[in-house]
Amino acid sequence: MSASRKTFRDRTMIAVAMTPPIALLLFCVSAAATWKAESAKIRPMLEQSFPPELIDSPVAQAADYADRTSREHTHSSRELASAVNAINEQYHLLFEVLDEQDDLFENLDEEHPLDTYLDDYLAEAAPLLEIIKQLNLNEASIWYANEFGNPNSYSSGLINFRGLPELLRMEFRGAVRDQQTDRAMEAFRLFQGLGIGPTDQVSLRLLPLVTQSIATGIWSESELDEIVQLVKASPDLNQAWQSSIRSTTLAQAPWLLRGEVVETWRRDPTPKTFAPSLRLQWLQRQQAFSRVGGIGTFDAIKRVMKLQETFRRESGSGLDLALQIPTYKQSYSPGQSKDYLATVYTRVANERRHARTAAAVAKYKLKFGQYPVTLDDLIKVNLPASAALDPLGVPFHFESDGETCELGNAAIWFTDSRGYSGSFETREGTLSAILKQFVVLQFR
Amino acid sequence: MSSQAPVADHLPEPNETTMEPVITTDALTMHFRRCDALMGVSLEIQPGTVFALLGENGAGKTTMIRILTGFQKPTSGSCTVCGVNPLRDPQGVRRQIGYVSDAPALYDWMTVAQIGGFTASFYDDSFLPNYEASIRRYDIRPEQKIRHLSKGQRAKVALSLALAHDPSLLILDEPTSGLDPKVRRNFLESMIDRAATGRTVFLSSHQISEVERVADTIAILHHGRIRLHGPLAELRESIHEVVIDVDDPLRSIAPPPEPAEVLTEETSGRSRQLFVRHLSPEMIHALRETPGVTEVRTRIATLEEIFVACTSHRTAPAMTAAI
Amino acid sequence: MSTEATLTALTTTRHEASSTAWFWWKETRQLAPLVALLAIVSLLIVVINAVLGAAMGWLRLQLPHEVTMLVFPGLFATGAGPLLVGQERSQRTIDWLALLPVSSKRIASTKLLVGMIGLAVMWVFALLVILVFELGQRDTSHWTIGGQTGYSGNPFSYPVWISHSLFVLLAGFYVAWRIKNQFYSLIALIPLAFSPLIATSLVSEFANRPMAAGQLDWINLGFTLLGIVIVTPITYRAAIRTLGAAEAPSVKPLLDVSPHSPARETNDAIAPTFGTQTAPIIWQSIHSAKGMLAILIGMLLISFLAAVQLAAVDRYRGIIGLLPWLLLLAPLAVCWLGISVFKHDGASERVRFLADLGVSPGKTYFALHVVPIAILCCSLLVYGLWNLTVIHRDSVSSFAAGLPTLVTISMFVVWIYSISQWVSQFVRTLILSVILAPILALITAGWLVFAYVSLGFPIYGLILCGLAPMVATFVMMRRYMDTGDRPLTFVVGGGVAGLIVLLPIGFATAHVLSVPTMDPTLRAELLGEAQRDSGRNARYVVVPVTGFADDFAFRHDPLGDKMKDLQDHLGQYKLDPQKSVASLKSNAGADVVAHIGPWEYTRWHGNMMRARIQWRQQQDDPAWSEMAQWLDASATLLPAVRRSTLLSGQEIADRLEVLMIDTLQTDVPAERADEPAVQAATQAIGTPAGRAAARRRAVVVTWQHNFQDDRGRYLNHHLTVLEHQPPGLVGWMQPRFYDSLVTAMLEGIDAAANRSDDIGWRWELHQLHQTGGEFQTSRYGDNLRSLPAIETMTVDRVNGYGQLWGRDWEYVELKIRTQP
Repeated sequence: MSASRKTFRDRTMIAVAMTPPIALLLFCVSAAATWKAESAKIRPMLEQSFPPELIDSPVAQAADYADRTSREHTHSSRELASAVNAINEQYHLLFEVLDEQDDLFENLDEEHPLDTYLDDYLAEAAPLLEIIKQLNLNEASIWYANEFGNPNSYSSGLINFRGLPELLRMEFRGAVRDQQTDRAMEAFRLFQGLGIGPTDQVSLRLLPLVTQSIATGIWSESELDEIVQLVKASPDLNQAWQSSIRSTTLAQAPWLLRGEVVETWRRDPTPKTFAPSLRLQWLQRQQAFSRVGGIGTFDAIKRVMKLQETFRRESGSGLDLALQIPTYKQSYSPGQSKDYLATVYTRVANERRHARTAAAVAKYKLKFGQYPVTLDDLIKVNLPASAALDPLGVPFHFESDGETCELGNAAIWFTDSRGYSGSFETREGTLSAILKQFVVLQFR
Repeated sequence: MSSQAPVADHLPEPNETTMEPVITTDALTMHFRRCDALMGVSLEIQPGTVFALLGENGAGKTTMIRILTGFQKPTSGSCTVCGVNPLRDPQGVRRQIGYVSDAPALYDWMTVAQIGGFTASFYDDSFLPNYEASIRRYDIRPEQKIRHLSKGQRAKVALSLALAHDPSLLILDEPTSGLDPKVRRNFLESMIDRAATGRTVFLSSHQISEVERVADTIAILHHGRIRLHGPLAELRESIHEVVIDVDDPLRSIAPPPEPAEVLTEETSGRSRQLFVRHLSPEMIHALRETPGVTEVRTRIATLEEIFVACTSHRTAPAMTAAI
Repeated sequence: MSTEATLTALTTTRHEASSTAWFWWKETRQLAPLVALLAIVSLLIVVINAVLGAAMGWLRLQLPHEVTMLVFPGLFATGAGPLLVGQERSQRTIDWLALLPVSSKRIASTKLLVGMIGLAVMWVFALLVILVFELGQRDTSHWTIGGQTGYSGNPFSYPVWISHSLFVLLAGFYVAWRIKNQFYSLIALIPLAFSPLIATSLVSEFANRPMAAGQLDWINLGFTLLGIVIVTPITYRAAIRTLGAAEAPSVKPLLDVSPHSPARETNDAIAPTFGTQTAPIIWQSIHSAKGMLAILIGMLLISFLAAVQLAAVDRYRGIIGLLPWLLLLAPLAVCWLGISVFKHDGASERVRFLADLGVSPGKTYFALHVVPIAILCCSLLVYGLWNLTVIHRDSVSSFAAGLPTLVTISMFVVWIYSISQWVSQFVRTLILSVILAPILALITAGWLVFAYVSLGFPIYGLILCGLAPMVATFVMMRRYMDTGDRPLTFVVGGGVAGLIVLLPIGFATAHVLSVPTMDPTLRAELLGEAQRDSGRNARYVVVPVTGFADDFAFRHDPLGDKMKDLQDHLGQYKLDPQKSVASLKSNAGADVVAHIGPWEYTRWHGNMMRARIQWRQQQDDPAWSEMAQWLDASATLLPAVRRSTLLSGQEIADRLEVLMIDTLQTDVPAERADEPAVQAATQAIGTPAGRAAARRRAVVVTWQHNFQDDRGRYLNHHLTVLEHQPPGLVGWMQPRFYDSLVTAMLEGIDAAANRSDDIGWRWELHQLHQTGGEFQTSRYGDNLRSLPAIETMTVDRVNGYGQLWGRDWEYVELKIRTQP
């Protein structure tokens, strides 16, 4: 069959045969090119927020943590923590009774003399308290010898963190019962020194106890001012929000740069790859979350939830997704969900405003001999009306007849439809999660 | 347009009892999408004769046979085989006939013995001995699978299967293609003695030499029409080849008068070759008389020449009307 | 003459059997290959299911057995009609059969009866296997129609399955009689066979609510019976019409034009001209099966549209419920594209035409493959482009979220296509290859996915296994074109199957063998030591350690009076060291082994630390006496714990010893050095050699228990490295990892004994316990080991053996040791 001139039919046949494979090849080659281009973009974005040597260090978190802590404090804090844990476990029954009492807002001392047990505990814990005072610990100094970056879930060996705060809470309670305001102030100062970030665990929060102590009226005016100063000095919420996002992103550096899955709770044996556009998208979302301002307000929660909703509904359409194995959507979301964090931060902000309002009420009483009729009167003790607002921006629940008054930490009686009576028109589960413990202070 | 060949046209064969013909077709027409296989064929085949249907490839022979064996419905017209219309009772027709197609399709996974046994079970007991005798005659090993047989052996097995139940009418479609000469010769002889025993053989072929030796009556099919139909012997005498030499190439010669028909006419230089049917001596004489004719030579046409004459499409249109 | 006799004997004995017997013999003989094929394949799938079930507990990648068995009568029913009728029609033996004096009614009815008997046999076989292997779920009764309770792998009850397969058989015969082209008849059979299911889902669509399985069962049975009643007569009529005379084509040419007139010239008459050699073959392979290629492209298109619809909807009810079934058309189409390579015009006799022309096998192979591959590439490209527009999110559609990527889909397409094109060259008849190819493709794809996921088979291996069948057919091309490929193709086929099965196993074995086992000399030595040690059966004493807050969940009693609880039980939680070690002290004579776990040790550690802090703060006698109590109790406890043959026991002993050394060094003033408690404590501190011996004994005993009588609980420390191995190989690699763990530990013990800081054993232990972590920042790395042990040791859990071995605390010389 001599290769004579190619006829039109020849060209069509060869075209039919050749174009689809070539087109598919082009598609895959462009996908590979996109993969290269996208993965090249990740590092510069990381370097916007982290120094290069930090990113390149084998375990980014360890390096970051090591240069912010002191060795000497670590030694003594390890000893202190194990001792406090032992004694706290020994007195766990006492802890439970006291926690229950806080919930009931009344003082059960008449029927149940707690003081003896409280005093035994404080006596035994006295040396430990001394060490805490001597060390004047601050959050930066404690380095829990942790094998950062080692995915072995047993490796952290982090000493249980709850011991110290619970000891200080007991000390504060004892001091308030004995009305020794200097001891209480000292405990409060030490507690702030620990720099515990906003948390949902009741045992790691002192502010509600301080607010209740203000209601008992034991504080003098100068001490009230000092309390307000300490509350103002506690870590800024926006800063805490940024640093939590920062540490989550830093921990995911290996995943972002090389796609190696950083230890998840349970290793998924099926081999998976993650397209760089997917990782870039995760990084951009983290930065979007970190740009959410006004953390601690209800709008912040709404903004975070709106962001999460848009992210939930949108998936990357990068060309390099086609080269992922095995599916287009590789589920990967390390760290706590952001709306939960925003909710916790809002609760902490509300507690701070509530404490300052209570302090202002007490100062008003000391100054004018009687309780203010409405919250607006607090302007006299230079507390602006804007500081007496709950997360919804509505003034706190306040009833007063001059002699006694009541100050709640939210405007109207909040109950959550999940099992509690009544409901309110805000989105179920959001605000009620914030103000589950609706506290009403009785000022006598 | 179809004219019934006058019965008296040929002398009854000595052994032919004036019984009812084995196959009669009445204006069979068959149109396929792009070609017309049969254009009104009317035939009658007497029992006890060897009837040969001659025609080129694609003349419509196979279609005709498929219609006769009831595998194909004609576009129009009808036919009867052994007195039965194959459309109405195909099974009745097939029980009485033996049909061998040009490319027999047999179960190639069966052995020769198995296919013999299988077929025999549908006929009476005489089938299997005849079959085995013919297989032995063609020296084919019975335990061999048909898949491994050669084309010729496969044709022999098909033949044996068709002949074993001694059918009254045997329809063969190019039976000898692929057979070696020795086998072909004794196959043809068996055809002759079959006809002698009163059975009819319907032979469709384009091997002129083979047909000449066997056929009693022949029909030439061309482009779906029967060009020529009649007993071989009679046809052979009735068609003469006439070569006329003329002195002047441009001189036109009048065709011979009425009863004679010119099958084909061919002029090469100064000589003209005619194939004429029903040529009487007077006509030859008259031809010699015509001016400018230098010489006239006539001889009996061989069957091959007749076949070529009938199937060369340069025949004058009048030709078709004649028969 | 003798041959004559045998010949006659051989043939004559058969002849008296009646024609029905012969007829049935012929039909069953034609069905035999189908039955054989299905029997082999059903056993193959049962074996594969067993293998998958055993190897991968967590991913149930299996068909429920009973469905596998129920499917096979259905497949037989699908294949019987086309095989008995379609095959005969395509090879034109039907004409010869019709020549026999057999009425067409009898031919049709015999074929149908043979099909039914075959179906009955297949059913008996399937149900026998189900009953013998107890494959069905016992809790649901499968024999009562509509009686489906609870979830069962197979939605329909057996009677409905049986009637449905009968309907499929009849439909198979109908399409075979009705449609001459074998492939078109099979394509037509699919919707016909599924028509009862389609009708049922249409009913549920209009009922507009999901219906209970029982109702669906009844409706499906109704439609199936209706189908049988309709199909039987039309099958009979189609058979009679086909066996009778063929209809004359009705079209009559408009004008009676003589055959050779120019009016008849149509462009068909113009011969297609080609310049190159490959173009004509491509043209020929397109035009040879235009209809079939159109149908297959249609199937691909239908499944693509179904996918598009599924990606836009997130609720599958009613007719939408059928869409997932339509998705199955795509793999089926890919499979049949592969089949079309060496069938129809690729079949061996057609290919001979090219061979006779002297076209090279390579060019033919390429030309035959080029059209299907072009179609597949086109569909993959469309899939890739479509996925650029799809939102792969659960919130939008769970189907879209689970879409595999282009790379994964093309890998599956390569597997299915190459296996089916090999089957199409290997199996002669179209029907069998059309049924066999999907099943083999399913098995191969399943096996390779299992190999990739569970045996750690690399991707290039997958590609190699995928392309092996293509190479096999290329190699066989020359012989195939000369139809001489029969015997050799089995060998090459076996080779390909062997490669696909053995390559993953080969990789897995190499991966397993890469972990060295313990060398025999060390093993013999350890066994010897174990024999010597097993003599002394030390008495075990558990050290009671109180002071735990018992689990709140069990004790939580909201109505209980917490105050009373506090008053009554607070005292119980005080830990008195002397009480704990009292039992050890009582029989100090016999060498008693104390058992204290890491969690109990946290209380001992915490309380002793509190005593030390109290002593540092108060520096008065009560504080000292309390600390002395703890020192003395520890001095008693340490040797007992050191004698433990548990590795965790040794780790606790190390931690206790670190604590005591730290206490003696920091909190014991010189003037109190000669106190009995301090002296006892100093005596209790062991020596590196003593510790090495105790640790070695613990390692040997633990290893011996684990190795000899499989009391694995002693060496039960969870090796993280196992999590990073392919799940299927974990079982094989575990003993080897334990061997390397024991070897590394023995090395570590020697290194600690003679204070060498070689890094080998530490790296090995790090790899075993903290795979994937950074060596520098782990407790085996030098950073943490350089720090004092008291600061970095984990107290509440043992997350890796040997973290404290060979560190500075072992070699400290206690200044205050006065006596030797």
